[in-house]
Amino acid sequence: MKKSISKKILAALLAAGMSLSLAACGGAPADDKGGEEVAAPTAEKELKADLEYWSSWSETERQAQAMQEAADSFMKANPGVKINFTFNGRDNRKLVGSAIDAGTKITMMDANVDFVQQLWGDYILDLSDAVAQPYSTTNGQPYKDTVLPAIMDLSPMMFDGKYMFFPYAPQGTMVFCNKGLLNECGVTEYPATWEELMDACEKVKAKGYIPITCDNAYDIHWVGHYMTRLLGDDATRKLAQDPAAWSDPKVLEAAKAIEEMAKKGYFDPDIESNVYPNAQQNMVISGKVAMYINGTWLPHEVIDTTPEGFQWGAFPFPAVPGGVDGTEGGCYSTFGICLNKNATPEEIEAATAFAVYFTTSFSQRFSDVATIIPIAKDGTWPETLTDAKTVFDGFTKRYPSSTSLGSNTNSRPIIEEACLKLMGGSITAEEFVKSASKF
Amino acid sequence: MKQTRRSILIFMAPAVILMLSVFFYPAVRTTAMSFFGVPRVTTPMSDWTFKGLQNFIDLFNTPLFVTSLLNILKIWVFCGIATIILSLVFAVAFTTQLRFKKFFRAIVYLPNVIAAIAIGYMWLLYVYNSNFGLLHNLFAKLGWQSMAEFGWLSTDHVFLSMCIANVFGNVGYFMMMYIAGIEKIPVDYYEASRIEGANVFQQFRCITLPLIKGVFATSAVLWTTRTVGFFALSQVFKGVQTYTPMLFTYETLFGTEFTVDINAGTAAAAAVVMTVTVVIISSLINHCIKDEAYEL
Repeated sequence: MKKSISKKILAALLAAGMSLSLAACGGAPADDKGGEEVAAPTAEKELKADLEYWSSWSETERQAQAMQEAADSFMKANPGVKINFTFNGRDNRKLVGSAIDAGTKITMMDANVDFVQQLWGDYILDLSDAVAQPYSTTNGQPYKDTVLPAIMDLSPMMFDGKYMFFPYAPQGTMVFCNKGLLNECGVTEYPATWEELMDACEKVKAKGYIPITCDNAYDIHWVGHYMTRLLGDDATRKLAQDPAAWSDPKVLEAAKAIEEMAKKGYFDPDIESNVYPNAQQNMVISGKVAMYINGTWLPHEVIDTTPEGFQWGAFPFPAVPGGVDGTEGGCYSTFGICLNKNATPEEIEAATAFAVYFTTSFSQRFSDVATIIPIAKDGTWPETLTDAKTVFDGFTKRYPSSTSLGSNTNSRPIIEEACLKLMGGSITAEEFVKSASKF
Repeated sequence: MKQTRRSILIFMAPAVILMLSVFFYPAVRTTAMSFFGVPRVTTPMSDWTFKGLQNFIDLFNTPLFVTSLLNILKIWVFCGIATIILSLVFAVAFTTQLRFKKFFRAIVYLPNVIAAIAIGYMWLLYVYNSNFGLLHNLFAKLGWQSMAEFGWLSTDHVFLSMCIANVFGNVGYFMMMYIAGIEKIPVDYYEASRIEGANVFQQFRCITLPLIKGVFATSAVLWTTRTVGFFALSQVFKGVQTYTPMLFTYETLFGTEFTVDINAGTAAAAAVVMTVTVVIISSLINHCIKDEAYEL
């Protein structure tokens, strides 16, 4: 029985893949970004399904608007398909499982894939066959060969070799900087080592600017990155789980490096009371802050307040003395579109066709509208993320979002507070180790 | 219509059914869940594994939960005292012959019609902001530099800042309760005492306070339930000092923005601890403060 269902699904996927053909692109302007409508392919074999899509974007976000635009285009090309969105914002990850359990119809859903792995594993369809197919929008190549390789490899890493989602909206965390300000301070090369970073901070401070800032939402990143560079991801994860792990002398060594930075005044004097999004707004509005560890979503988040001529730069967290990891390691992830494993073959066929269209021919449009990284291997990155692309391309080792130091719900607030105090200079490295390990 | 047992049952049925389904069933299920290993809130009962008191033991061995209990105790005591005193002062002031008292009542009550989360962000972004916040600008104008640079949102002061926002949001609600209590007191009492030469403070101590004892008990119980459910401001003013059991329960049940190590059994145990606490405190309050009716 199981076998016949999976055969049906495979047949549906094959049909979707074979039957899609690209129609000519329309020329109507789509929004204030002056973009062009990306016409969806019309399936040769008529698709017929009502799809319920639960999304992790909020209705007012550009991502949601772009997604709706893609759906409108797809429904126009395939009148038998109806796509109804429920934009739940980031709470989507919490809502989907309960809703499916309660019998709510959900055909497709998306979330950051870390949540997909940990919360939705029991609800979603194995898409390994679907991503191995060529589609008309992939120029005859298998779907998985058209996507950024580091991102396409995430699913098999997380799900024992299976592809469980169509990736889109990849994200990475790195040191974002005001390139113009760094140049003005004489920092013309991005720091690759800790020494070079300290040198850059000194130059920025000497000019009267703030070298590094941070909001409370990202307060674990500096210490987390240093720990991960020094000890590796597994040992850092252990710190989040086991208070005894903090007795490692290397932990104190890392804390001392951050303490030193605080003593030299490299951190924003308001770092202990910066509540998101105060610091990131201040960075672009005042133009007096040089660096901030944040995600590739940062330029988009502050787009409305960023002055013209502001030059975004980015570089990976530098290598640290005696560290086990270098700049090849970084926090990166992606959003993923999943299909409900209990959807009907017709729904799966239509949902697959829409997901493929959205993550292939619509990918660049989505990237342009939302100022995010395109999922396509040959996509054009937003101008603000030009340097971020170099960093992203260099990542070969993955850390989870905000590093593994923040991976435990019960220890994270305690460690976060200790990190803030350490960066603010309120406590010493020894006091940091003591208070961060009290969980 | 003649009142029969049948008609009483018919009229009560909707309320009883609602109570049973909306309050009683979730409470019983949550209590049962607290004794089992339950990965997710929607996990079917057949997949629950009996753990006895282990969830409670784990809970009290989690320093973050213990800290959250201490925090809520501090909020209950400090914010409670501040809220009740301020509400009483406003209630007494606005039941005198003060001009525009209805307008002032409305102003003080206004924060209650605004969602707590909005109140929290208002304080966070417009009042406490270290660069352009109201307090920063006010103290800077007054030339009081140390206060202008005071880190209202720093880890050491965020609890105080949250408490101020909390009291601001609650005073109006309790003020209205006390006003209702005070306005029930016959004016003859005050007139008689005035003829006897009592001043305002004596009237307050000897007439108002004793006669609103019942309102006190009710307000204390309500304050307790509102405090145990303290969540929105704790979310806004993030920190260990502002972490509350309700936030712990929520994050244990659904995970956070960064972590998803969820456990519905432990979350249920935390909810049970909070419920038991409310029941005990409410019973104690009702036992200690007896409403003494007055005679005309």
